[in-house]
Amino acid sequence: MSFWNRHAEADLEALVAGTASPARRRRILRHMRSCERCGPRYEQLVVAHRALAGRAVDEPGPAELSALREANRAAVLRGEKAEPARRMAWVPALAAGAAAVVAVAIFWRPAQGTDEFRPRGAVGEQDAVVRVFCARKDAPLEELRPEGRCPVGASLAFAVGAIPAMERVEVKVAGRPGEYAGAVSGTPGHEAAVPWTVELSTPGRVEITATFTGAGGAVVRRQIVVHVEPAP
Amino acid sequence: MPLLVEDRALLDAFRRGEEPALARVYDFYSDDVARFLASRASSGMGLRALDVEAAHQETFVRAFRAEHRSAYDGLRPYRPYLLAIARSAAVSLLRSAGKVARASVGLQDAPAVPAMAAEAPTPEEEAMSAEVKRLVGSFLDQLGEGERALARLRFMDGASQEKAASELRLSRQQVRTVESKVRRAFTRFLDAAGWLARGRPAA
Repeated sequence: MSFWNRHAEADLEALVAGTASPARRRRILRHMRSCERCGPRYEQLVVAHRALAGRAVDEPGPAELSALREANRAAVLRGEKAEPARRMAWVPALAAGAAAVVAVAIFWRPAQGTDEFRPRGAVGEQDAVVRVFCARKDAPLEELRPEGRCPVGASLAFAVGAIPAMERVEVKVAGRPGEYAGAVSGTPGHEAAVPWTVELSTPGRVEITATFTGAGGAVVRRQIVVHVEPAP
Repeated sequence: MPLLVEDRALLDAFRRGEEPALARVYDFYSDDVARFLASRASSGMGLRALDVEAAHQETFVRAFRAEHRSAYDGLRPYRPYLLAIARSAAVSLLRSAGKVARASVGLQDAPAVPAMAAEAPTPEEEAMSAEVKRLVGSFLDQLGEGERALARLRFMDGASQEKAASELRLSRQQVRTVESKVRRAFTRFLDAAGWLARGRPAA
């Protein structure tokens, strides 16, 4: 286990034992949430410590409860929202016009502080939304921001939502076979999953395009580029 | 004992948002909220430890906002009110992580906490529980008598280091040292058994 070292071990144990200062704890947790190796390892360690405490696997033991209580007290009393866990809220910058508008630019805003728990639809004025996810085996879905990375062997998954005037959507992944075309059932902020995924078999740059069409010939296009990297 | 129902002065201070009152409520209910979030009752699937921490913070931040403080009637126990907020925070977290379909669960439509029944563990969860218990048993068997006693006091009973030191006739520093050693040994044991790597996604 090349990634495993004494530093990482000390961080894990400091988290579980509740001995890290709040600032250090936040820093370690931020890493755990974004590290596909350390995060699951931490979860396994927590489960084992619950068992060591004689509790069920979904029941925190005394040390975990104490650590959590101490870790969050100051932030709660200051009214600080929890830190985001690689969850991104995005805001398209171009509002589509009523007819024949093609928007090719997309702007994403990382969720920070107060945005973490806010539904996407509350973030700004949006008419059509496509969200892209990296689905790794045995790992939670990870939403990809522009230029985000997903490994070979994983799949891309999508969710779309649009205002009622935009009735249909086509989702294509350049250079990959197939496409999805269907009705838009979700709305911005309540995007619905697209019943189509794309397995990533080769590394490289991937351009994803979602074209929304509506009555009267209205067209809104959303594009996002992500990168497929070699399997770890 | 229902904290805010029994203590009207505390309730008034809580409603005014006075920090000592908020801190007292936080300390009183923190463990309840954490247990609830980690359990299936919170969201139907239980939150991961990393998510419990975030949802725990979010729960109290929401609960301590002026509108939620004033919305609590002070007549009924505060705990169910707080756990309803915790459930909302848990569902929000799962939604934002893509684990719950955004359109499938309306927060306003979420059933009240008392009405929710915890589902039985899945066979996979039962197998995992049995395996980790077996590992813990094997680890404890390897420990010396003193280390086992310390593990019982500190990890199972949640005794303070002072109390553990008193019961084991050790100094507090000795307790810290032995505890740290046991924790490291436990991590290494789990690593050697392959338990920690099981949580990693497949390459």
